[in-house]
Amino acid sequence: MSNKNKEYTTVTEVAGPLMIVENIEDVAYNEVVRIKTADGEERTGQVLEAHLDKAIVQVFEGTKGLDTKLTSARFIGETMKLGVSPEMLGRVFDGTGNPIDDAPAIIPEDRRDINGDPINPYSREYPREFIQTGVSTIDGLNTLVRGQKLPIFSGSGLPHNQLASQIARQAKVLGKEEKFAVVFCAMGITAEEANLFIRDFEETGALERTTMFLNLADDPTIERIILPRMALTAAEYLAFDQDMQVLVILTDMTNYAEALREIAAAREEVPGRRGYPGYMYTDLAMIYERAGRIKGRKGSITQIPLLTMPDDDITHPIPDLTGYITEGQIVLERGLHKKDVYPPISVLPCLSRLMDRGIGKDRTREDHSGVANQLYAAYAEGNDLRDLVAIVGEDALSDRDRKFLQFADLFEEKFVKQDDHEDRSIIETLTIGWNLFATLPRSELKKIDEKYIKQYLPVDNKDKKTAKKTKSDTSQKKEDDSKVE
Amino acid sequence: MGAVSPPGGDFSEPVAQNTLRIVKVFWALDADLADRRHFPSINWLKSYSLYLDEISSWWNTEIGDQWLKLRNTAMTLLQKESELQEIVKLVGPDALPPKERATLESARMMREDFLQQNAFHEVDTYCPGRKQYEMLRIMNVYAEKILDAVDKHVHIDDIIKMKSREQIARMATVSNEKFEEQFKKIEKQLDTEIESLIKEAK
Repeated sequence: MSNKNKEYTTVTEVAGPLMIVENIEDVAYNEVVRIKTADGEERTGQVLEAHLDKAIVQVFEGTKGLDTKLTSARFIGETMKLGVSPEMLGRVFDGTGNPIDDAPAIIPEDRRDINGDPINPYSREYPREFIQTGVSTIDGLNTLVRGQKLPIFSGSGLPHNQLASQIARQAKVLGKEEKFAVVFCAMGITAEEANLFIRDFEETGALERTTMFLNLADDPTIERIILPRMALTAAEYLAFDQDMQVLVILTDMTNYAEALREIAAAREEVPGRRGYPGYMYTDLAMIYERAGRIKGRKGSITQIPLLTMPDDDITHPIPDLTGYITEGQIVLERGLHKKDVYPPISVLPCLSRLMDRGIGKDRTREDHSGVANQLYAAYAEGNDLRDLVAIVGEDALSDRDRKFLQFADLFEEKFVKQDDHEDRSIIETLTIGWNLFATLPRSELKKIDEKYIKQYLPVDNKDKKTAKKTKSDTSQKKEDDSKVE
Repeated sequence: MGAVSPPGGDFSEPVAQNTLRIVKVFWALDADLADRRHFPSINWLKSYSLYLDEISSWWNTEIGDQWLKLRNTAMTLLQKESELQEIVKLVGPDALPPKERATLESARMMREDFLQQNAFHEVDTYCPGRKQYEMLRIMNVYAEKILDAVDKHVHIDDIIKMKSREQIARMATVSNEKFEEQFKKIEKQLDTEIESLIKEAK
């Protein structure tokens, strides 16, 4: 360790975001490098590859202006660390973790490795606490729970940022007063988009419990690689040391993957699918897997990564690999957006894998699971009929089919569509669902337990008689009901 | 304002996609539209503006209070049309039920008479906001009325033969100074023609 004060002036090559230093000793992988340029400016780098006497260093601030003669590098003997403190709330940091809000530097309580400590699988607590976002399509059909990672798959020009800030504004766990914090990590988004979030957080007073890490579109690309890691380090500190419920918004993961590709290309690695490195899956997993809850700790980290699917293509490597790791996805659709439906959430390809454990009696309401299944089934049926009706006309449909067709339209109009400041409670969401069921024949509600139908279905006098008649044959379909516990 | 011309008009390539992630307004020029001599060849479904919320209050107060509503219904109509077009390609427009044919007819009117402009025409080259608003409004009225008419058993072929329909198509070339009067006449005629068609159908 004695040689850690050595300053090397043996830079032999600068290529893209990378710099090569030769004739070195005792350099370790991932070690941080302090770089001094010819005019005395300090930059930070990280060892990407360590050979016997040679190291490849990525330079976070960019390699502009570096030369091979006068540039010097010092390896500091430790990996990248971030100073953390509860004071980070309400502050804004740049891509290397320095404050950019004109307030003094924070005094760190601790310095943490930004690569984090993987959570021991045994001490992971199963996420099961319902988070109410106030958005019907999420709460009712794709419920978010504490400690979950649920990405939003979007496209250029769709209102995903608006939706993310609505979720950040409205998210709460019912019946509990707990410390809540938002960690916002912006990778390569425009200044205007960042302003939208800041303005929104300011208006609702959320700014003082928000920590922001900003790397805007015109900031160095390489910083995007470490930015989510720093944001998550801050989030882990707030959650597991300060007992806070932390919501992490990562936008836009597509820009992160592009940065990954840029470095891989500069290192002349063998490209994988569409030029992205073969280890992109592992790399994304290292970020997404930092969500969760730990046994014995009060806090939690819930992640909402946003990504724009290039050309709206869900098979593109970025959404594809993300979907393998995360616990479901929320998918936005251009067609709905053009039909003036906000949020334009295309319900059918959406999924929340952790929903089952987070809903039901004592969590949301006992009929929740049945209502969600029935809404999905009826909407899917109505949606299929849309193609058919365009060919044969509505008149050729049976009475039953016509009702399902109408259901699909009503579903989009009443259930999916809502105002961007409308905060619907889960009870309101379920009530809208039940009101929609009232338009269908009662005998078609096969996915809901008979006793809930009796309890919640709004019935007018005319239907009551028929309702009694159909009762016997619907109760036989009980096996369809999922465990509503 | 900047232009990106992806090779082969393929918007999925990286330059276009990376640009799209940063800009807030996007006008997609479409070679198919240009082939059909639809000018300006801006694809209405692919293009977008993220300033809609900000700009709509200006239109609503300065030009007409229904602007956002009209714009949204027109967009919905065009989106529906594109969904129907896929079926039309398979079975032809005649096989469609009357309601869907009415939707196609109204959407075609939007496309041909509102979205297209002739840059070499003396009047059509520039359309003032107020005139745009009135044109859009009358076409929305038309869409609403013919949908109601087919519901009352008027045949779509009779609707297409209406004189006022032709006049709506000519709205773009009506003088920018004196259009209000002319437009009122067109709307009135549309009213009477539709009413008489509904009467006949009974």
